[in-house]
Amino acid sequence: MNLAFTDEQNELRRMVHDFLDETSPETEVRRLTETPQGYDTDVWLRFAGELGLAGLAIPEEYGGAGYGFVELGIVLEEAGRTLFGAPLLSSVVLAASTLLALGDKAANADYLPAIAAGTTTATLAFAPPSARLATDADAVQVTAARNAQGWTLTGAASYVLDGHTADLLLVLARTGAGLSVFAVDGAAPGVTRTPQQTVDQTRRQATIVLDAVGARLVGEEGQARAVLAGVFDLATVALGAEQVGGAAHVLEQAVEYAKIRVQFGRPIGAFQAIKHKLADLHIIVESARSAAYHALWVAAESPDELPEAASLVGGCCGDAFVTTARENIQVHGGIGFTWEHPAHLYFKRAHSSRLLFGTPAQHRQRLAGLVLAASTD
Amino acid sequence: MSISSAAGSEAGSEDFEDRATFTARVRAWFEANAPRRGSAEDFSAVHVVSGQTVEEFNEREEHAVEVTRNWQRKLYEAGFAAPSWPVECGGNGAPEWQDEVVLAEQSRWGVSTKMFAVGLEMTPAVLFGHGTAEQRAHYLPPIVRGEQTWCQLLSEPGAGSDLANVQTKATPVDGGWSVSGQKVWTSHAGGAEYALLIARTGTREEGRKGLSCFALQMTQPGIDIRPLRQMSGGYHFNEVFIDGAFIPEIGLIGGLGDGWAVLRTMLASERAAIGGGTGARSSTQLIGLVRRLGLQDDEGVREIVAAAVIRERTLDLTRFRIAAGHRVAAAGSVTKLLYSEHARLSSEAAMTVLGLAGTVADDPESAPWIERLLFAPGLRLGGGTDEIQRNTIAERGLGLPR
Repeated sequence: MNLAFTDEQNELRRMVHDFLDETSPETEVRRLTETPQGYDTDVWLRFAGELGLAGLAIPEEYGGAGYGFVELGIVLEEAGRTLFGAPLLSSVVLAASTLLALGDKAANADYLPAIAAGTTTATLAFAPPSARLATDADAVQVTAARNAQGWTLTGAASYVLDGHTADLLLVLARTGAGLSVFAVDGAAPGVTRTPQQTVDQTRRQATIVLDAVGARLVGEEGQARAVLAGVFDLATVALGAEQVGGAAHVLEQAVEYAKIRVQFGRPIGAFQAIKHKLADLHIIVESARSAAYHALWVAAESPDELPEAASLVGGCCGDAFVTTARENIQVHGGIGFTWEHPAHLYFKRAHSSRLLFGTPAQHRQRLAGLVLAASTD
Repeated sequence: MSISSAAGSEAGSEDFEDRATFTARVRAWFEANAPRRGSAEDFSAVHVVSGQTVEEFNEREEHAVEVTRNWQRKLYEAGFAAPSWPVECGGNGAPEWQDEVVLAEQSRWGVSTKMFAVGLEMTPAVLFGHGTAEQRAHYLPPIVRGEQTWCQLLSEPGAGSDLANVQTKATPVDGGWSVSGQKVWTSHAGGAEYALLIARTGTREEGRKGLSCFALQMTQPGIDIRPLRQMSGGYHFNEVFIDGAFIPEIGLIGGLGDGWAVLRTMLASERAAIGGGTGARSSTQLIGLVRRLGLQDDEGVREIVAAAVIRERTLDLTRFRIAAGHRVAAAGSVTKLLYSEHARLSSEAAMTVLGLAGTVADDPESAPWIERLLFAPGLRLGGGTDEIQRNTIAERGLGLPR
């Protein structure tokens, strides 16, 4: 195990940090929450094209940079810090990981170079409307039928990240052989996309209704169930890095505010009630960071350990962000409860992201199951 | 050039093996020499010592000391006791990464010399940070060879978390100092050859500016050690009454009145020693317990197991990250708090898993957990209480006002 960052990785972090400070300040984050699209196309194309960040973990043969999850994790941590509005989790993490895991060479050659360039945005539709758990494959509603022209999909999926704008929809659907992944053109006839009213205004979700829409089978029929478990693990790890970025940022905000807000004639940070709260948050954030960095390394270097490392991340990083975002509001007092203050943006991001790829309780149950099964005692 | 042939001469780093060769040699040596789990020499059982009487405790403690001492001697003879220390201090003058390799291997085998942490970690931290070359050459070699152990004389009845209130007095006399006062909560005072002592050399009004640090020989007249029984039933701690004990001039560590700075170094090292411990893997044992009791599918038990596993893994990974050079603010306090929390969490988890068996101490499954349960509150106090650690994190780590 090697968790030390290389000079190159540190340089990457600095570059992303500076880029996001420039392009994703709070004013811009707030402006984008009011736009139908939810992100700025020019900034996205600079991010993906000029800086090459969307293709960071995509192999070179498919137009990417050929790095791995450690590098991608650095980008996500920085993105989480600024609530960067972009189809990063949807297109770069979920869709690209799904394609790579399915290993369909023709589909990869067709889709991945444009995803890496940012000129195509993609997403994965995996959960039916009113689903409780993202990872409940049995609940999938979309069905695939084959006719002379090929496959068509019918059914609905909700909570689709950036589903209202994605050019390419990867859809989980049932066939006679089991769960399979299909590619659908987001603008195809028969596709109805309705933005959902998301709690987290900085990350969009949509309901997608498919009515006999032409689709392309990606990978083999019936292959999706096994492949998807790995994709959700990768997504959980990537999201963990994003959550750590957000948690560390709100802690920093709380600490800075505690130094300058004066009550009873002293900065509130001089009171032990506040000191101890912030010290506990520091421990929570650093623990979550350790889990996330380890899992990023595992994703890149030791895939056999991924289920356990991902459950560890899912079992602590989401809760760490929620706790930190909540207590940040508490430290700020009334001002932290206002619409004008950014604290609520992080609070909403924290609560939503904690539920995206399985609840913390679910991850902890799985972690316990894995360690209990692995023990030889 | 091998380490043994380099000993005794000033060696440059080019004289040492590369990391892979050294690691292979360490591993082979451990394979041949480290105690097997469950054997009489197994360390995992001797760290928490208890006993119904002072005699019983002393007998067990002496055994634990003996086991640890033998291990330290073996390490020394093999050249692995303190590879990076200078030759004149009992080391090999090797690169620092060699210490890490040995430490990692000790952790892998579940063996440690934590029992001698005052001598092996705090004393060198203090002497390398504040002492003279003469003091290092005088005090360190017997520690490395496993011949002498050290204890700390810090807390007093009126100076617990508030150590600036220390009243034990050191008065200049011919050729050194004369010390009188009362200390408390001193672990392993009985067998210790020396103590790191904080005593007042100035006036009470001077507060922390009136403190100095000394190396006090414990085996001399004027030192009365009285064991204190702890809630775990053991006699780990002692009260130490000092009445006119003598310290030669070489015993003053750091300048006169520099005691507070030396103390800060000592406490930082103690925090790191506790938080960086290579103690028994509690969650592994908890998992074994759950399996033996057939509770793998109990959802409530799984939640408890997961919480303990998450705390242990994130603690280990955080230590690993710190060792890999990541900047973690107030790292020593962070790992110390995580460790005391882990000890509490895992022993409380085991109680829930044990159920009624957790109410009796003579059940073979419950006995080791009850020892830990009753030891855990002490971990939240020793080396600076949890609350003091939180202050340290807030003030030194996060920069909040005092």
